[in-house]
Amino acid sequence: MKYFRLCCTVLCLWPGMLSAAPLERILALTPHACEMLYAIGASANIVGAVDYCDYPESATHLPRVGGYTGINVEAALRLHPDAAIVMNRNVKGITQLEKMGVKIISSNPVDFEAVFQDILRMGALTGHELKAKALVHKQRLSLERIRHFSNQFGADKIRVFYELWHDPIMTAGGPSFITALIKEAGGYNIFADVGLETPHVNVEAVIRAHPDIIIIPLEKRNLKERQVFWEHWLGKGNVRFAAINPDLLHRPGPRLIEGLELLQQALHDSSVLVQSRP
Amino acid sequence: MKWLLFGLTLLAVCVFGLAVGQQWINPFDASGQDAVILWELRLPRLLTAFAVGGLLALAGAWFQVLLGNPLAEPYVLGVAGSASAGAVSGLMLMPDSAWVMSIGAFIGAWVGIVCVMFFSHLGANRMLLAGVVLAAFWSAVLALLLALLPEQGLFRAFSWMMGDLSHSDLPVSLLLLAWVVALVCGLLLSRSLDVLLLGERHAEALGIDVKRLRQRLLLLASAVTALAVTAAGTIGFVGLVIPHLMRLLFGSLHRAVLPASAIGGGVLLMLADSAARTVIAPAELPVGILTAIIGVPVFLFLLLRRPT
Repeated sequence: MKYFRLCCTVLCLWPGMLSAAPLERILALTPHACEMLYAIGASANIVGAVDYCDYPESATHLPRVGGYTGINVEAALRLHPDAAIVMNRNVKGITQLEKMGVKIISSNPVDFEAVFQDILRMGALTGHELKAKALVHKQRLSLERIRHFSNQFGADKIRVFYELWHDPIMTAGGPSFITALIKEAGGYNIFADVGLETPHVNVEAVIRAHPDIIIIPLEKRNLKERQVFWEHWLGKGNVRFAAINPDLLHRPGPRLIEGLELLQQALHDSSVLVQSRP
Repeated sequence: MKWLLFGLTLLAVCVFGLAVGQQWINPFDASGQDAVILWELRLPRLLTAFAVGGLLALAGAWFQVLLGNPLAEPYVLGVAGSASAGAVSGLMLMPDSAWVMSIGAFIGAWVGIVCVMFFSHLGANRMLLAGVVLAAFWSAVLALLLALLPEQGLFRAFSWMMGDLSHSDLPVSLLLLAWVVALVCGLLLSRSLDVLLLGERHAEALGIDVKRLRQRLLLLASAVTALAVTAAGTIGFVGLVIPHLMRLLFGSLHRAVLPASAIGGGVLLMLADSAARTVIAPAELPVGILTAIIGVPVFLFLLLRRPT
């Protein structure tokens, strides 16, 4: 009878004990989650990652379990993960991982508040609450500072063209996070009214929108070449250029605030080129 | 009378294509920024659309005679597949280069053509069969390459495959010259084509060297297709339907069908591209979608109206 009671107690407490225990073995299946875990000191909990988890440098040495085309379920299970953090549940292999008992945690922040909440959530999940809270506090202060600066200048004055890609010319539209970032930095995305996330636009549309500055996410592209191209159409001296490492702006992780700082600097500082830190 | 109307349509579409866009510009009275947009951006793009559309329609007309099949079109023998595979392999080898997709597409198209040439002596049906199988092979190669392509390249690859006139690497003058040369070659062959349409035996009985004619025709049609694909990616539908449409309007003599197709294909692609850059301006749609959306209703309407 005694044993029976003990067993019952243990069985009743078991699920509670499970959920309270920090997750020891995590698959970071999206780069921003990987960066968040590193930033809160939980890097030791990451057992595997996807191809494009490349920051910080040591993340490149993590075992790889997939890429943008999908997750290799066998490779993932061999690492005995407790949980996997994903951006999009529809990636191939995720459902199967879930069926095999891996806890799937979705993280797809679409604004700064959501980024902060996700950092806190990961702190709670891995037992690094204190460091997560400290990081979020610091980031909130930086965001306040950036917003204060933008308000001083009066937002929407600087017209920004964000050249996501040049062949064909792609940009960020209204629903895109980039448009919100440009606004936070004190600028106005010239294609903010387009209802598509990443519209294909043409040279004519850019000429008509009269951008003050063209932001070029520098990803295997030649800045000089883009400068020559746009100066031909917009006139030399009519437009400034700035290159920013796209990982800082396209990943909703702990470095986003750094990207926003660089963006603001590029918008308000008239020195032509702002190169991001590598 | 028909030709006069046709010519007027061409003129009207040219003027319309220049005038529409994100903002209306009067082509007869443009200055400053409008003039730059009109003559340096819209005009070259419009002429590229005209030449590419015309070339595709000509190639379609030739393939339909060559293969004796109304469903034939410029891409039926796998040239589009091999060109796409070539473009994507170029993108894989040198992801940073601007020209690499066009060069890759051109080489790929010719690899596809050479493969088809091996089967050109087999007669229409077998050649068609070989071409369709080759097309399946190329699309498998393309799928393999796309699976291996790094993420950044995917978008570029897809937009190329859907057809895009916004950034042609080939000079407009070259395309227009090719249009003229192709049309002249086509007209020189038009009598033989009419005879070939009656059947190979009839053609041979009338003293035509069918084998040589077929080889020439295959080379000509393929070369034209390769050029069009290199300039603008794979734009579907124009090459299939324009020749049929022109036969409905002008009868089946190639003396009339070929020039009509060369112009009609150009007109359709100019219209489609004008719509592509206007409908959701300042954003753009892929032009390949619009060729079908504009062309299908017109074609079906004529099909119902005209007796067979």
